[in-house]
Amino acid sequence: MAADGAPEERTTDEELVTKALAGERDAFRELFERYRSRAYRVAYRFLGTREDSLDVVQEAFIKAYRGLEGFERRAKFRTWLMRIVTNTCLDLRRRGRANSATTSLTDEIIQMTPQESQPHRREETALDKMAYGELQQALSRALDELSDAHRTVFVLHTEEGMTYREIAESLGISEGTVMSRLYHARKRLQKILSNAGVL
Amino acid sequence: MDTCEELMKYLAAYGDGELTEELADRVGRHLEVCERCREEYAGLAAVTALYRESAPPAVPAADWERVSTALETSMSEVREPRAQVRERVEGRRFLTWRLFPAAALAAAVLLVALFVVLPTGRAPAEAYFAEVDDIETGPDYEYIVRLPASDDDFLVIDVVSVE
Repeated sequence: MAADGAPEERTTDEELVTKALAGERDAFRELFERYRSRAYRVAYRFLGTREDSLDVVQEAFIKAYRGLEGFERRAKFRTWLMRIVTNTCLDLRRRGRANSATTSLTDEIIQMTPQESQPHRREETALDKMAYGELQQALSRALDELSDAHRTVFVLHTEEGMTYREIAESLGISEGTVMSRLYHARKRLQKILSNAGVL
Repeated sequence: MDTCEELMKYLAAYGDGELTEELADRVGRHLEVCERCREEYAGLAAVTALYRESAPPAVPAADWERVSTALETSMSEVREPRAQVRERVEGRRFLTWRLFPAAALAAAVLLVALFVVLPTGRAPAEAYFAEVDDIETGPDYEYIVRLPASDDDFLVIDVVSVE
């Protein structure tokens, strides 16, 4: 709250971008704080390991900072950033650098403390540590079976909560294409997860 | 009456609240009377819910610190080279004009030749000299301009010290 009791207005992303372009590093730090967790969750759905996902977050924010001068204000910073994140994930997968989620995920989660392994959006979960790891592994495996196009749309919508329009803007496709890809992605995941006994 | 096949592709978007009001009404009315589509709708919604409720593992503060530090380093590297490049360019310009006036003169002659003389057609060599003489270069250098022999040939400018 501000000193006069009125609610403090949050600086918009656009204002922060303008300040960052003027050389104010604190403004870009604020953007990093705002979006690092979202970027991580999106990256995690592509890569399936914490380590790779954090590497992508790091690389994506560095790319964003270096490319800020080329950022066109027609799009929102968030959609622009998420496009960088998804492209960085896809590049990593194509280069084969990402660890295989199906082989490393379980070990990674087993090594976590119980507190670390809890999903951070919820205070409590019914899943115990091992079940949580197995579930994440199954979800990653299922996503691995989608095409890049379907996986990208599904992750941006489900994990990042982007609207069809935002996804369309971010990827340069029509909203109708977004709707179609999302439908087919869900149908495929439903079948895979049902066969795996998860659904 | 809408059929299942007509509306099936809209079920997921209906759950996402992404349909137009008119289309959403049609899907809603259909779901009220069609058990098959209700099951399909519930199955698609369950996929989304499963992913949303199974958030990726939390990131320890130490890992965020590492990423933050890397970003800080990168921001420093981006800004500093920009400043350094500016200094290097200025320094090179200084060196160029002070120590290599011949090269600077050649560049000046070339510019004159390209933008003043050549657009009007091939001019006699005197024309180049006439233009070049207008540039203050000092007395220590001579320049020789050789006209291109053909359209495919180059314009050659030799700058020679007379010291």
